[in-house]
Amino acid sequence: MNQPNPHFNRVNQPPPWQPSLQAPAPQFAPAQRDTSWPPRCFDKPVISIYEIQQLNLPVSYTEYATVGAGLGSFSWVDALRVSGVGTANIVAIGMDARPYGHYNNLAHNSQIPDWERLRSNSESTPDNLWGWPGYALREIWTEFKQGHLGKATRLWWQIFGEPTLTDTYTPRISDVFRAVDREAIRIGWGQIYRYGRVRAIRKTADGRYVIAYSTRRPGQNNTGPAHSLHLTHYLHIAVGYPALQFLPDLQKYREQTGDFKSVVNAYENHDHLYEHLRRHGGLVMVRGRGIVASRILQRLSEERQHNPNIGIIHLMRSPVSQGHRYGKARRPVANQFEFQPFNWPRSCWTGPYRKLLEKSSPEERKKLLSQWGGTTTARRQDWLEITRRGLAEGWYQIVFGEVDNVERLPEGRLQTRIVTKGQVAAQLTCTAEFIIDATGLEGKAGSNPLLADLIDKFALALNPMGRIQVENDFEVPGMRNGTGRMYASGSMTLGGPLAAVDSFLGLQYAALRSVQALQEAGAFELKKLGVGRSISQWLKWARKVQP
Amino acid sequence: MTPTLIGRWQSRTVLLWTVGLVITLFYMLIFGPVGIGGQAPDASKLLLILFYVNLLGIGWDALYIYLQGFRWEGDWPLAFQFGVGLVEGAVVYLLFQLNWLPGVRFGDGDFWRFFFHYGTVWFWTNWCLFGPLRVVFPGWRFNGGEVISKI
Repeated sequence: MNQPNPHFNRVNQPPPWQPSLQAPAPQFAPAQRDTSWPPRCFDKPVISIYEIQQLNLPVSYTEYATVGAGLGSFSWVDALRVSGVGTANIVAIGMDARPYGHYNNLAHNSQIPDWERLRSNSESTPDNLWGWPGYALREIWTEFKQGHLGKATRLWWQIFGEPTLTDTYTPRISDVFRAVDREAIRIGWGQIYRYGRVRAIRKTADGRYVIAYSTRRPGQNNTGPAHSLHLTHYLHIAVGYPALQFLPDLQKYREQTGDFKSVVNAYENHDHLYEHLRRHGGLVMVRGRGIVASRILQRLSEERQHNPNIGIIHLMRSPVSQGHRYGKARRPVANQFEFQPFNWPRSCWTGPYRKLLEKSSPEERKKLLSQWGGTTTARRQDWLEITRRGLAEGWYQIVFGEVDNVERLPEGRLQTRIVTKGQVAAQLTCTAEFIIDATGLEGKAGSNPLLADLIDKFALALNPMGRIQVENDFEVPGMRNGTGRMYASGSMTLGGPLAAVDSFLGLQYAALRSVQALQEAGAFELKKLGVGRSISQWLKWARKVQP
Repeated sequence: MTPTLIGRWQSRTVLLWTVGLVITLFYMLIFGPVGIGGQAPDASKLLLILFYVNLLGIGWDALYIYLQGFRWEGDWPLAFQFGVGLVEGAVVYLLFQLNWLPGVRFGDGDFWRFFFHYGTVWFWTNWCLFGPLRVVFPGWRFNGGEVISKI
């Protein structure tokens, strides 16, 4: 899998004895081999190759390595492969063999089953570096081939008129994953991926990086070494969201009671809740007003078809009378939801807003992101109808206020004390069977132990959003090591040059930018993705031929 | 792809003088020497019309970018792109018919010649805009349609 490293014995630090002298006879018993994990020499930010050799751990080497092995890593590897790098020179270390494994878990938990559509654009294609043909065109073609002309026409109208004349086209999650599988086979992901839980990353004294990772799989019969080291010259890191986000009062409730069944995060598996409601009915409180809340409402309304005794209280902090404003434009609002097709205005991916953000200062970026961002959901006719019907029939109600306290009643139900403000200042008490926290995922860099360690060891700068600061080409400036470079992408870079960092297209853009920077720096095997190469590589993609 | 002003100008000019030029030369051939639909000795005026479509387009693009600013998404939907192509065509035709385009004289049968020429150019340049251009220039879509740009 890995080509032998010609420089592995390139020790730039002399051994601790003089070669001209005879090695002194040991005066003490030989020192114990360091078996701690991570090794003690990882206490320092820079490690010599000599120290690595002394550890007696398996060491491998590739010119390129990516940590995370999710969709961020996959996009980076795809860009490398298309730009000429062979599979033997890349390694992706992560805990899921399928690049969309973790994403899929989060999507399924947040109620996106295989047949549902993502909040993603047609041309956001992690399986295709060029974004063409997009998922809409592929779906139209599939429907056309099957003789479903009406459906093909409807899809064509949707892609033609979006987002103004029709709802925005979004691809089916299963179609995206199938396409990623196809591309994974084409680029040789199976030879590139390696199972591992990355514990620490350090610079080496010879201008490279060493990755310490564990290979023990929880709950499986493990053979072979438990720990390994991997050396690399060019490193990429995309570890995704570090944790689930919990509202402080719900976090406190869970810590105090140990009740992880009645209070759940929308991104954790909470199928038991729907099963219970289907059998017994009950009241559910939903917190958060983003797209995940919309999906939860859709699922709950579907459950109501089995058991009409399901009610929903949607707790929101304050009413939204007007949408966010930017320049001459204002974001539309209906039924207390702010609408936009994706989590940022479209122009943030490929248009003037992307360029504006890139050239802004860190403080200006924070301001722009707060103007463009915020909690929004997509305008979908079925969701509008659910809220309209629920409000009219009374099984869905919106309550405004802040939570004072959540406690468990003796019979097991959850009592929430809500304080309302303004002209209707009052205290309300709401008793529900379940509370679903749909406020999202935690993105602060310090919440991930690997990133926290990197920040600590290398004094990495954080941007005003509390994420790792990156250059416009997504290089982490504090990690430069001679000719060695480290790049980052994904949620850990929010607040940097790109708004939509955690989207398929954002990951692809970050990958292309960093690979281009490496190519300009003369990195091994990388070729310029100019017109000729781009066309020939696309033709290979179309013919399912390896790059 | 959400265009920038520079991106609009570059994409428009590049597409008109590659795809558009090939189509124009084709029509010059079949309207001129081949003589389909009655021989038009001054079929070369199609090249000048292409130039005027490009020239007026520079102004149109500035207007479109201004209008984009009123949209929350800051974008320009596919339907708009196709629609404004028709408006642009109608305006160029009107100027053509009124003989207001310097160097171009409107003559018999020119409505149909303009109709086929402009219609084909409009259809194929838009088709390239929403598809194959991404394959030729991988950085194009990330830079608001700028052809001369890095990723």
